[in-house]
Amino acid sequence: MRKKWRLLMAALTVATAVACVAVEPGLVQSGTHESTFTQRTLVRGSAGTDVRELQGRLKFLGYYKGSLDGSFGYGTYWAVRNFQYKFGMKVDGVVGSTTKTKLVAASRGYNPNQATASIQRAQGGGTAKKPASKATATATPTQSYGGKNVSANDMKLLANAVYGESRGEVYIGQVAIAAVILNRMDNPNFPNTVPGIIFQPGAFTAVADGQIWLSPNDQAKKAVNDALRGWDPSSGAIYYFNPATATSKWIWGRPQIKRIGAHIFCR
Amino acid sequence: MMFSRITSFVVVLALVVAGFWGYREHREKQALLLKAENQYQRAFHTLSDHMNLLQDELGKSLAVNSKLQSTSSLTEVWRLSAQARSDVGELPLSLMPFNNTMNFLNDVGNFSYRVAVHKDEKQPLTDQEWNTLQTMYNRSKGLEKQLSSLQTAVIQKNLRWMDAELALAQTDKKTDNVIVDGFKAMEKQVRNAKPLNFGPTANALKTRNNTDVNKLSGTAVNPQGAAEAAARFLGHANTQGISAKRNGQGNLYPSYSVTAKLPGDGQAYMTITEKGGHITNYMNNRGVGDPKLDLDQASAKATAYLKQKGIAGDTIIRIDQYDNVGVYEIVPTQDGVRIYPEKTTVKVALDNGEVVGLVAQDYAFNHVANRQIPAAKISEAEARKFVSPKVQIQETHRSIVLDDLGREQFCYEFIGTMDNDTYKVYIRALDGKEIGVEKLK
Repeated sequence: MRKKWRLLMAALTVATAVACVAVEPGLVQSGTHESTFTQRTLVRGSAGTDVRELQGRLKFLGYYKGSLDGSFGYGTYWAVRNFQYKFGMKVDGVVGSTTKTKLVAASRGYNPNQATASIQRAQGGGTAKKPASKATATATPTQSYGGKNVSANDMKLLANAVYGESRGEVYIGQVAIAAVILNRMDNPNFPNTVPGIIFQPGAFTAVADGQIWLSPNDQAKKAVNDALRGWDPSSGAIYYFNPATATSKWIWGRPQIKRIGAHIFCR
Repeated sequence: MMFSRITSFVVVLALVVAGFWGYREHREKQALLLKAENQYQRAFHTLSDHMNLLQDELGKSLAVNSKLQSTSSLTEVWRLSAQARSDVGELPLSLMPFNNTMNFLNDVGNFSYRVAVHKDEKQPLTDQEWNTLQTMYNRSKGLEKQLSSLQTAVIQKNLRWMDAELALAQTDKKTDNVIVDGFKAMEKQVRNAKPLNFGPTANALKTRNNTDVNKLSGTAVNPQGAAEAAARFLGHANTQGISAKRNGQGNLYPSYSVTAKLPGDGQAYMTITEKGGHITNYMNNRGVGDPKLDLDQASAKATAYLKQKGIAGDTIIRIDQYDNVGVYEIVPTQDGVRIYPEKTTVKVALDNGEVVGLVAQDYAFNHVANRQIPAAKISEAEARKFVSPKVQIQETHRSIVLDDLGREQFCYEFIGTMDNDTYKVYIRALDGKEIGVEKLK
């Protein structure tokens, strides 16, 4: 009986201790708000709501001056380095747990949820925000990929063109078609902008029959992303055609490189 | 009697309504066709105007002997050639051979840019440059003449570009479309002309794509050898499930397309050079699940992967992320100098850290085992003076980069900020010449 009582007391003590520890931070930091930082380390190139919070906190402290776009670019990088320098940390621009802890402590009073909400309002209210775990890269307005300047909207056009031209093709074939459009940018025979190439009269059947305006799926977007970063399964092709439907004799005369799926790629 | 009168009235009314409707449809269709036709007409007549101005400006650049005057004319030539190329891009000529003419326009633009805007020395044209310009002038005058006589025909005979487009779509039949024939004649004239001599610098510009097979190490491999190279690369015991197919003559360098079955649902797709069996492009197209690694953890995987494959590369110059993959651009360093021409791109799946893609074309063609890095002739502090004082310099590196002619240059690389933007400025370590500026995002 006595033994059982003691056991109960011990259990109760442990439970109270656990409860205290669990509640403690909330009691101490009354007035501050819970951080949405995740476990992951943030580096230049990261994107997501945790990056937005990082920017928000740095802006709150006056280190960051750009917009809270949730993508870790150079602006954020210098802000992080300055913060690390001022707080006597290792200056590397990498946001690990130490930097996060210091930053959260330094920017007490900053409410990440409110900041996100105000951004949402500013963006026209309730635009779908992705959760931090699914940090998708929000494309910056213009990016240069190996000397090619391609804006975020150009990328959308590319995805549309790839989807309209090669729906139902193997993935490699879709990357190859995106690569062909990009290869044309460097070729003197073609216009040197993405819209110029896509809307060149007679260049793409998907443009002529309006299939380019179908909404592209994720695979087409992925194919564009891969092609932009240098993956070129077409081996430098600037033309392709479907041998089953090609009517032009001239296109058959071009030096052929390879066949992927339904398309022959040539130069 | 009464009944048939009503019927005939209804029938007549229906006919009138249908006729009216049909007429309206027809009119709308005509209006749309006319709109499309006018777009083409505009592009065509503008092209003719630009060609006319272009040959004028080329002529002017020949008539003067001062650098200042020829520069303004040649800059104008450069602009007009770009305009003319853009005009051609708006015409339905993509299904007919017009590449020689386009190449000519491109050459004119590049040459005038090189001579006028980007020339190192501030001096008048050399004899060779003058001769090249003279040839360009004559040829563009010829082109302009053909174009303007075609233009006259289009205006006088009311020729329509829509008909030309139709004629081009049916290339199996012999066409007698005046517009198509006119452009074909132009193309023929340019094609039959002797190649232009641009001098060494501008010729370098034409062979800039950096896929010179002579730069590859090793000997030629056959399809079996390519399959074996792929097996070694993928860590397979043998070439089972790997097929190598030689690419046709249109590719940039002789190569094989290799596909391989990977464990799980993955399929590898590779490009392997014929000479030396170098892997230039590798892609594993497996689905990537939710990320378990962050970009920082995955960067270690990327550099470890290069080390394992025997590819030099230790400095990550750029990271980005999409669709649960992290993409790393990595360059090697030698004595602390970043070697940008040997860049590789590594794609890491963030679900398990596996490398699912590699672009190593630049590396394969430009890698040199022990590079001769020239001695800097100016100090970092001296080089700094060539960067605008308004830029706050944050980082400095030494690097080897390719300039706009594709030549390797030893530079100081200054990364600095101005307002909220970040810039990277390359200053040649020999003489402080600015090699390039990049705006970083």
